[in-house]
Amino acid sequence: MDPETRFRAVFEAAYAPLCRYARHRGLTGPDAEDLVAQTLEIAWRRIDDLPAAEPLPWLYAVAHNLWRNQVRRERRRRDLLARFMASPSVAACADPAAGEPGVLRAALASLSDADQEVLRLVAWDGLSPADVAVVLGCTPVAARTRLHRARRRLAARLGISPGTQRRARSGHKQDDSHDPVEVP
Amino acid sequence: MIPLDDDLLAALRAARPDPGYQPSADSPEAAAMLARILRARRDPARRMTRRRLVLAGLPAMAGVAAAAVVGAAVTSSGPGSTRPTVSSVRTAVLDAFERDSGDIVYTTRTIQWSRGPVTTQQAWTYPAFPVPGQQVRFRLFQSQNGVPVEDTESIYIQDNSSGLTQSTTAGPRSAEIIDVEYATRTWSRQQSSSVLLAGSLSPSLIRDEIASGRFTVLGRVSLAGRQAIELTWSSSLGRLTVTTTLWVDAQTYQPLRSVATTRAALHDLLITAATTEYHILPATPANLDLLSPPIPAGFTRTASSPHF
Repeated sequence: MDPETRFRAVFEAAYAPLCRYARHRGLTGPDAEDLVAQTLEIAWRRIDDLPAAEPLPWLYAVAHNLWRNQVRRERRRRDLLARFMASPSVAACADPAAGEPGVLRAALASLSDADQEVLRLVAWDGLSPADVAVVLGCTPVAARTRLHRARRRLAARLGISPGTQRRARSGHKQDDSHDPVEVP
Repeated sequence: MIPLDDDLLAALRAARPDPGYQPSADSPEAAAMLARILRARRDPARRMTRRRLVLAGLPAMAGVAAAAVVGAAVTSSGPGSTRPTVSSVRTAVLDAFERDSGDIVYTTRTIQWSRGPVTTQQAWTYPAFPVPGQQVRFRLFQSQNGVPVEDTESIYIQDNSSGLTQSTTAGPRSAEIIDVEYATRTWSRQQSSSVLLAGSLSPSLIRDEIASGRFTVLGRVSLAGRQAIELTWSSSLGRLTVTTTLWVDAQTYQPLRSVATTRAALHDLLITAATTEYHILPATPANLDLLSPPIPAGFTRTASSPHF
């Protein structure tokens, strides 16, 4: 398969998931389009490096890095804007959504950037812990650990005790009394 | 996708933003993006680089319309006047821009920041609408609260990009910069990989908006004694909304004035209001001299500007 044919197939498969990835991180319009386009442009330039079997996690990793850079730029821009305004809170990103989704999203937003991202990757983007590991550049065990801890902190924000949040699974006893050991 | 093994993650998944969002790789937007990416690969000059393009005008946003600012100067032509169609205005304005493409566009812009300083910008762009390969000269003279701050000329070769972008993936790759810094009483002339572009002061910005046809014709008005046609459009930049009102001459269809307001969506708070006046100057030797920043007596030359 020649590179262009392969890239067209990757584009076909990845365009919608990457658009949703951008949307899940609050990007819309040209900002979202820029993120998707830059990710796919890198994929096209590095088509020989793209994993043949599972390109999506690799693409998510690229998008993740681009997005983090974008967030840093946006924070700098917001800081600059705040210097010109009497009320810096104007540029803040408060989510005015009401109801349960709003409460959940607000609780999510109160977590650290790292916790938010691992939860978004799993719950919103549908990635497995193994795929999350590719995106975050860690081992699958570490990815599971990060997910576990982030989920626990989200529950704490919502006032949910560990014992009430998990579904009972027959034949398994859930034990949240200690954290798994993180493998770096 | 993995099965979510607890209620919390399931609830979180249900709370994802815009669950009905269904982007498609078959959409026209996706097809255009694919074509752009494939084209960029064939043309190495369009690859991503890590250089800086400095945009004049408002930082990261175009200014927008404070109707109150100009309300006193604009009067309706009355109910008897007919409102031109978007299509007819689009054609006439683009024809006017085509006629003016080799001229100099001189703009003066006043920016009022919310409870902040008043920034005044004078800009000269030549030619008004450059074609790829053509040399562009752009001068920007900025003052704050009436005090000169910086006077810069940027000379570069127009590339194949559509002209206006804040991305570093397109645009000219280097420029000759003449920069006069009033605070330090210094000036410099250097070749730089940081390029000062006209940004929101560029007449191309208006041309692109008009060409898109995504504007509304509000009607005919009298603007400072001249018959004008009033147009408006809005755009969003994240949580900022920029609304522009543009008046074009009813006879020549050249731009006369634009007023832009930038508002924060959250509280509909006015952040900036910018008023811009447009003047089309023929490219005579005397007018071309205006593109070079004068060096005030007593200013010291330095090797480079701290800004480029």
